[in-house]
Amino acid sequence: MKRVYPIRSLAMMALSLLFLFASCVKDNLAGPEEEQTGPKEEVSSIDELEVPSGFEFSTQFEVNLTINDPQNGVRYEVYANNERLFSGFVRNNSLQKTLSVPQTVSSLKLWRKTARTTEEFYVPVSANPVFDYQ
Amino acid sequence: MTTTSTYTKRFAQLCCVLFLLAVNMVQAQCADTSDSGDCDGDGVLNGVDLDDDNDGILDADEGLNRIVVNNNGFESHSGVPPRSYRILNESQVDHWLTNATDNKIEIWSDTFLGVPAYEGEYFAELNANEVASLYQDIDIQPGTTVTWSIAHRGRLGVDVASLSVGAPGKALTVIETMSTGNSAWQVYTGTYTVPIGQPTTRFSLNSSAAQNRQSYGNLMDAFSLETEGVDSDQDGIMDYYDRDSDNDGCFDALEGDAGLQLADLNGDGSIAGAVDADGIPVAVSSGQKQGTGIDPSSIAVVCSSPDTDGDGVEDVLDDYPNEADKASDSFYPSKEFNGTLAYEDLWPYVGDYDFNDTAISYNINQIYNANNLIVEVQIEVTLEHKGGVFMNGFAFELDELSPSDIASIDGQVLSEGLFSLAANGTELGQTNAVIPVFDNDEMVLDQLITITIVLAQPMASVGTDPFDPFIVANNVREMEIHLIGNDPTDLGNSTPTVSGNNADPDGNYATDNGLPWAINIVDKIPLPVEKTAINEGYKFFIEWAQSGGSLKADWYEDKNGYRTAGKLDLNQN
Repeated sequence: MKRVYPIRSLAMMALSLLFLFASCVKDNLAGPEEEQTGPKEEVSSIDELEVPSGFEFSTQFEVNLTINDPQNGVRYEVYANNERLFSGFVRNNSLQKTLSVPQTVSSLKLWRKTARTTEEFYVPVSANPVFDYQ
Repeated sequence: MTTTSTYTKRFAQLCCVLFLLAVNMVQAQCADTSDSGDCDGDGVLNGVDLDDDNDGILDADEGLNRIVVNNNGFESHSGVPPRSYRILNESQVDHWLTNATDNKIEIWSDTFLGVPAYEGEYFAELNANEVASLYQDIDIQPGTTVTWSIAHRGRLGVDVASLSVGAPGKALTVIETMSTGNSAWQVYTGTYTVPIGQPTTRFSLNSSAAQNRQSYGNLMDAFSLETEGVDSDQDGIMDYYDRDSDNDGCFDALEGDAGLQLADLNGDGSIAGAVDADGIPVAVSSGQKQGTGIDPSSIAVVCSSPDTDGDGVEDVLDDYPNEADKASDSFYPSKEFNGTLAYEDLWPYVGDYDFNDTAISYNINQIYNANNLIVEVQIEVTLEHKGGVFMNGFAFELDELSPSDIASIDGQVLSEGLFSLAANGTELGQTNAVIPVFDNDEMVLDQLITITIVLAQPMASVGTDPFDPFIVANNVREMEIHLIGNDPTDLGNSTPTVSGNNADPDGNYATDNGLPWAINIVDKIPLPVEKTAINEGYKFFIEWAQSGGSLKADWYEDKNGYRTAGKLDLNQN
């Protein structure tokens, strides 16, 4: 059966379309086009994705951390995003470790611990950060 | 000496703050070291607090020496009439000594011969009856840097004098030569660091030339000494603010001679309870002596923590207080969270990119001994999802280790004969150590597998996490699938002979346009539902990949707008 639309319903549909159109126009006129947060070129399928040469889909990078401390035996704990990665002890005034750190991390938190004290420091993430305890 | 002490403290505080900034320390024991601050928060301002860190050891005993130069302005003597002078015996002038052969010291009173005193009512003329010196021997803690100051004036013209210092009875060193006319006083100042081993220092004012008159010249007044304080452990915090002055991990309050116990202290090392009007904790009455507070080689008995396993690491610092060969952990991705390894098992054919054919949650712990050498590696593995039809195995290659570096492996779940094992649990026929974990993913779904790898000898490194994890697809040993950038093991074949559309003919575990068959995420993430490409569940996966990782590195995180409801299996463990 053919569907018959009453006039009132048609009017409502027309108003709705007008409202939608007006909304789109308003967005477009609101100001400069916002920076796109998605891909520059729309990729509809992962098969179409072109990955830059050398990219290995890694979510981490390596950090070669060096801690220099004059007090042997002190314990250091290393945190990224308040999650504990590593702990070790100062020997020969030094402590070194290669860490795999999430790429979203910009600094490492260091806890310097003795039996009675805990001090907190932060080290910016780089390939070879060095922390000197004075 | 109140003014001197105030200036001394201000100078010390400024030095302390500048040093802290210079070394970029983020934590000091005092936020405001000014006189109006209250470092120990006891309600007595620093400027008048005799114990600025509330460790019960007076500031004066912690290097903030309010150095007293007795009779520094020549005010105390047997008497000199107004606007006159007297040549007195050495014994008639308090605290000052002279090397004059007649033991005479000449004191002037204010405005005698029109010369006003620089300070107070009296001052001295170095040349009494001959060219000579006035000196005092003062006890100052070795290592202390003092700022000295003296007012000098000529009598008949330009007079020349010097200040020399050193140990009493030994040759003194001239640290200042003063040459001043007779129209005004001139103040000379400088610094001197007391050498180690010199508990007493002689400060000597010496006449050297006075208009060729033996008994005229070199007027002196207001000799003072101030101190910058002492920083015994060189940590940038002066001892009188430092609650662990020797950085030995034992609070000064416990190393003092009052016999305090941990229960007597607050968590920051200050003494608990009230303080008196001078800012000294009531618990130690008028204060306690330093004890071993500046001796890093000695700690109070109360500070010595038990070391049950005797590995040299105190129990409170030891992750394994009852195991002598273990002391600390190193986790990957972290102690709190697992990582995710997700595989497409159709390699070298293109799959559906849902990365759930074999998907594993895992955590690696490299366990160190007290000397920072690795003794054991624990790997926890849980197969979170099996989406394909192949029967797959899973293993790690540790490419910094040979099989003989491993003493034993425990926890493997192997039933299909996919891997041939040596007695120590490593796979036979491999140059590097290969650790099979399971060989049939149909049997281990949701099962926590804990692999314990005991090293034959402690080692400095076993490789970078997560090592080289790989699956063996379809129970065919050579069909290894690795993360991009990794090579097959000796028993793998990255260029197998296959029919049809080989999408990885060069065997680098990447398609021609760079897509992988395996990815590793440093977090435990929900996997895509069947036949749903990962980019459909994770909206910024493509942006991340297209940018080479420079954009949306957090694509996998559970942030608003990052995930597509219904495209991810949120019911997995």
